[in-house]
Formats: sequence, structure tokens, C-alpha cells
Amino acid sequence: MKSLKSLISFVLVVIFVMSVASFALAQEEVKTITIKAWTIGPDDPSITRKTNLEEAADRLNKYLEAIGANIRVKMDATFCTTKWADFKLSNLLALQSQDPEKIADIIVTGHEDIGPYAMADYIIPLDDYIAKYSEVYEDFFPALWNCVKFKGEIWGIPQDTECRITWFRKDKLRALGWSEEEIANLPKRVERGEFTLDDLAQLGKEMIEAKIVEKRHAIWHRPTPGTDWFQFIFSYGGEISDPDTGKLIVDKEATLKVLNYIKKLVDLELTPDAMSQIAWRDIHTTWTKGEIGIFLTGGSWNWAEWQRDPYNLSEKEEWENIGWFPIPAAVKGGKPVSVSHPIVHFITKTSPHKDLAFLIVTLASSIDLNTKHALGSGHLAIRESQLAFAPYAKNEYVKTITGVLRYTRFAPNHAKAPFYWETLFEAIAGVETGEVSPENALKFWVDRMKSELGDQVIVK
Amino acid sequence: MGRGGYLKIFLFLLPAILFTAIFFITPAIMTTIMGFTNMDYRFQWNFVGLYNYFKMLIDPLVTKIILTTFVYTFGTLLIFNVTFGLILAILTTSIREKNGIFFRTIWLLPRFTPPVVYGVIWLWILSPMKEGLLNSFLGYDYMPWISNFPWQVIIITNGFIGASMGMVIFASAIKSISKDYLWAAKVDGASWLQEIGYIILPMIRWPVAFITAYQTLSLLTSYEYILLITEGGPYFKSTVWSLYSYKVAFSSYAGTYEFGYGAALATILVIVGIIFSIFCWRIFKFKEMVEEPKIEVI
Repeated sequence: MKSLKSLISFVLVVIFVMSVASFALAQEEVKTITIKAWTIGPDDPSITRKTNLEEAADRLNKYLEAIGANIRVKMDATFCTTKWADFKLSNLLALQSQDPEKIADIIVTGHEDIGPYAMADYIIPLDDYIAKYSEVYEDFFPALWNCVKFKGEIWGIPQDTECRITWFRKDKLRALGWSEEEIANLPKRVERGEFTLDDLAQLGKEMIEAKIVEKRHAIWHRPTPGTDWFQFIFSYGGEISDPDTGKLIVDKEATLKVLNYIKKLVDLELTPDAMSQIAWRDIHTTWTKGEIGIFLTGGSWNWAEWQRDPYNLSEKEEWENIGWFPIPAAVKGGKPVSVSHPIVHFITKTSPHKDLAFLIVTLASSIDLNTKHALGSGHLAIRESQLAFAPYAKNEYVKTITGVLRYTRFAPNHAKAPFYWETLFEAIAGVETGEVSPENALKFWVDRMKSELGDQVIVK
Repeated sequence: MGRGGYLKIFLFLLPAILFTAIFFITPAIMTTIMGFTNMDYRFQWNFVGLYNYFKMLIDPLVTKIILTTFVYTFGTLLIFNVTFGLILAILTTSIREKNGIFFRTIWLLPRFTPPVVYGVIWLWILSPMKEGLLNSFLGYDYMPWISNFPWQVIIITNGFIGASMGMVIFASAIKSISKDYLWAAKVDGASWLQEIGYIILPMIRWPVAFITAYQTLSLLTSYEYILLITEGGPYFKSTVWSLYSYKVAFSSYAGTYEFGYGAALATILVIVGIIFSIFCWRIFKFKEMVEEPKIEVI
């Protein structure tokens, strides 16, 4: 009997010790939380939008390990290199499922999605999160905060910005007989308003007449819709949104001038009438081969893009033969313009780990990681302190092109802003192909805007 | 027939009924219901009655798109899917069997090719620049084929694929014609063209009627090659109804998705398809085709 009691006691002691041990072990067990992110280039060099999040997760894990926390994060990020439209459609189809398993915690996309996503309740306002890490966010450029605001709240963390510019081939100007001094002076003339859009067309005409470029190879532009086209409305003195009411504006007079300018480029055989049918890759290939004089709607990121496969220009060649300036003013004495399209981080409403996701975004916004992205992909700094950060400050390209930012404006955060630029481009491409006159294209566009936006558009 | 007989028939048909109900009838009903909403990127079922149909009436693009759809559907059908398919079938069954199979296989290649690859190949062929295959072949420095000939481009690019189906069906129909008729015609001194006109064509009228009806419905709803090659341009010149419906619903950016209006446009296509099917059933007398033969040879 005694031995039985002893045995029972022994068994109970063993069970107790094992329970305590397993409890202690359970306390030590590290839990891994997966944070999902959807990111996009679509240009290849912008892969740092994805890798910076991964790097940020690694840093976070180091900190968590150092303080003995029992959680770790695993970053599961995708990087889209196809089309913006494809990326946005796949995001939207997943978002509407409202299933946290299918939806990323972090979305890296254009700031124009703030309006639609916020209204659909897909993302969360970030003001309270930003307040927690004010030491990081206080030196972001103030202009960037304006473009992530919607209905008075901040919905995104700026990831990068850029400036949209006109590229020109210095070698073609040399072939035209321009001196190095005249070439170097051209951007300054644009900035002073001495060199206008009409002068640009004239320059293209001279290139063709001098047989420096082939017909229809003088001035090319992007073959797709985009915020770039707003620049021309601004250049002709128009506006696209009303700051007081937040409504979109259709400026008939300025838009007609833009359409007439496009027609002029085609009529003078400076631009192919089938410009909208030429693939991006063919455009970049033709440009980097030096067969085009002017690329009207470029962006600062092209600089890095052209250094990569399949274009493979060296930076030395770029400095030698390629120059840039903001979109020239339409009239003498006017101001040149540029539009920026900041990319932003969103935190989704369905994310089960919003705090961790935001922490990763905060770490990815560190000066060194963001500078790595800026220099590697031809984008610009988002924080003032980056300007003094040695790698950024020493980089001649970003240092110089940052100057264009003083002419920069942003697309409005209106839910229908993408509809605006999509349909505006339809009108531009229609005029360019000769399918419709500028007047009829304008009338048709105004009708579509009115029918789609109703009282959300001011036609003037 | 007893109850057991009907039950057997029902059980045999059940898989097909389920398949049709899940993949055809349910989406059509959902599309129709969605057409009465103003659903956008927020995916909310806000019912707005006939708003989308009134919107269609004042949509400035609709007239242009109806014309393009008509030209595309019947142009592709008459030139390629029926006529060219028939020519290919007759020619490839008039030569040695081995050679006929070889040529039919070649014509089937576009159908085996993934649509995106097929689209990219055509974009390279039709590139407006001198590097484009057609331009380099013809020695042109610049010719915007898609801008200048959008209707021809969508008819040809779709027709090259569409013709193969007609070719296969017609060829097998021709091969199933009893050789006795053709030998008898030859004995009577009929020429090759007379054989075609008096024997082959009358004897394959059912497959021709079927391909005409089937391909018309198929063309009415197909847009993938147009989307890949012309994207509906220039300035909606090659936008057909189904492509417009897709673009309105899915294309572009978040703020521009109009699922409600897109569904209403698609519903019109469903209605047109049903009306056309009934029309074909009567005109081509399909009932006769599916009737049990009056004489059965055992």
C-alpha cells in the first residue's frame, strides 16, 4: 500500500515537473507572424519597394530578439512589374473579399488610390500611428503629407516621390550646331519661361529638317494615360481641381489648347500619329539608341531604368548625351511645370497586425533604406534629413534633379481622378490618330465627364 | 414512358444540367441583377432600377460601338469563319490525305497558341515603326496599320483563328459524304467545281448552318484578341460591345470601375444572344437537324 502511495506520489511529482517545464518551454516558444505586402514597380529598379520592407522586417526581428520578445515577423511581399491597371485590379478583387487571408497588411501603390480606398473602407487613417513615431515622421517633406490627406486625415505613408520631366538628347543638339554652353543653358531658359512648348516643337522641326532624326522621331511621349497629361493643362494655365470644394475641374480652354498642341506635333510630323500604339519597351529602346530627339513625358526614374537591362546605358553616357527640364511653359514668361506621383504605403482595414505592419513601414522609411531605393531607382528623397545623408548628398543625379521639385504639383486625391486622366488620354490619343478633331474630342470628353461625375465636376 | 424512364433520363442529364446551371445560368442571372445596381469599386449592391439602361441610351459611344460590333461579327464570320473555313476544308480534302492533314494542322496552330503570345506576335507584325514585320517586309519606314485599318485588323486577327474551327467541322463533314455520290458525279462528267456546287455544299448545309449560328454568338462575346492587339482603339474605332462592357467594368484604375453599368451592357449581349439563337433555330430549321431520322438503316 505504502509503495503504491509512493508510486502515485512519484507520478504526481513527475507530472507536475513536466507541466511546469512544458509551461516554461511554451513561454519561450517564439511565435512567427506573417505580414503580407503588395508592391509594384512597375519599373524593375523599384524592386527596393519590396526589399526595403523585407529589410525592415529583418531589423524588427533583431530588435525583438534583443529584448527577448517571443514574436518574430516574416515578410511575405510581392512585386508587380506588369501594368498599374493589372496591379490595381487584382488588389481590388482581393480587397472586396474582406478576407484577411487574401488581403495584404501593407499595400504600396499610388497616392491617387487614397480617395477610392478610403471611401470603400479598405484602408485605415494613420494619424494616430504617425503620432507614436513622430521623431521619424516629423522631417518628411510637408508637400508629401498634402498628397496623402483625404477628408482631413492621413491615409498613407509616402514611400517615394519623383518628378516628371522632358528629356532631350544633347548629342542631337550638338549635331544641330549648339555649343556646350547653349545646351547647358537650355534648362535654365525653360525655367525662366524663355523656352516654351512651341519652341520645343520648333526645335523638333529643326532636328527633322537637318535630318538629325527621322520624320516622326523628333518628339515622343508616353503611350498611356497618366498624371503626366495634367502638366500640359497646367502649362496652358488650366486647373484640374478646386481646392475649396475638392471637385474636379474641366478647363475647356486649356484642354483645347493641349489637344491642339498634340495635333500640331502630329501635323508637323514630329510625333507618330500611332504613338499610343508603340510599346513602352520599344519607346525606351528607340530612345536609348539615340533615335529620338525629345521625350516629352519622362520621369526621374527613367535615369535608373535606362542603366539596366535591356537598355544598358552607362551613367557616363547619360550625362554625356541626355539632359532634362520641367515641362516648358506654354507662353513666354510663364512657369514650367512638373507633376509628382508619390507612391505610398497603406495599412489595410482587415490587417490583423496593424501595429506591426505600421512598425515595418516606419522602419522601411529609415533614411538609409529610403536612400537606397531613391538612388537605385531614380526616385527622390521623402525626408529632409536624406538631403544631408552622405550617399544621397554625394549623388550628382538626384541632387540636381531634385531642383525640379520646385515646379511640382500633385494629382488630386479625388475618387474619380483616375477616370479624369484615363478619359483625357482617350481624347489626346483620338486627336493624335486623327480620328477626331480637337474640338469634337473636347466636347465628347466634357460630355463623358459630366455624365460620370455629375455635380462632382466643374466645367468652365 | 414510365416514371422510371424519366428518372433515368433526368439522372443522365443531371451532370449537364448542373454544369449549365452553375456556369451559365447563374452568372447570367447575377449579371442581369447586377445590371440594376450602380456597383462600383466598393462592390455594393445599390439598386438603381433602369438607370444603367437609360445611361446606355445617352451614352455617346453606344452608336459607334454597335456599328463596330456589327462589322466585326459579320465581317469575321462571313469572310473567315464560314467562307475561308469552307475554302480550307474543300481544298484540304481535295488533295492527298496526308497533305490535307498537314495543312489543317498548320491552320490550327493559331488556336493552339496562347492568346497573349498570339497578340504579341500580331503587335510585332503590325508595329507602326520600320522594325515591324509588315513594314520591314514592304519597305515602309512608317505605317500605322492599326490606326489606319482598325476594322480590318480585328477581322483578320480573329479570322485567322476562327477559320480553323469551320475548317475542321467542314472537313470532317465533307469526308463523311459517301464516296458513291462523288464517283457517280465523276462518271457523269462533273467538274471539280460542279462536285462542290451540286454535291458537297448541299450535303454539308447542316454544319454550315451550325457554324454560322455558333460562331456569330461566339464573335458577339469575344474580345480578348481585340483587347490585346488594338485595345479597342484608335478612339474606340475597334471597340466592340463585349470589350466595352469589359472596359467599363474592369479596365483601368480603382475609381473608374463601373461593375453595374458593365453588367447592364453585358445583359444586352445576353438578350441579343438569346434572340439570335431563337432566330437561328427557326431560320436554319435546327429542329429538323436534331429530329430522329425517318429511315434507319440497320
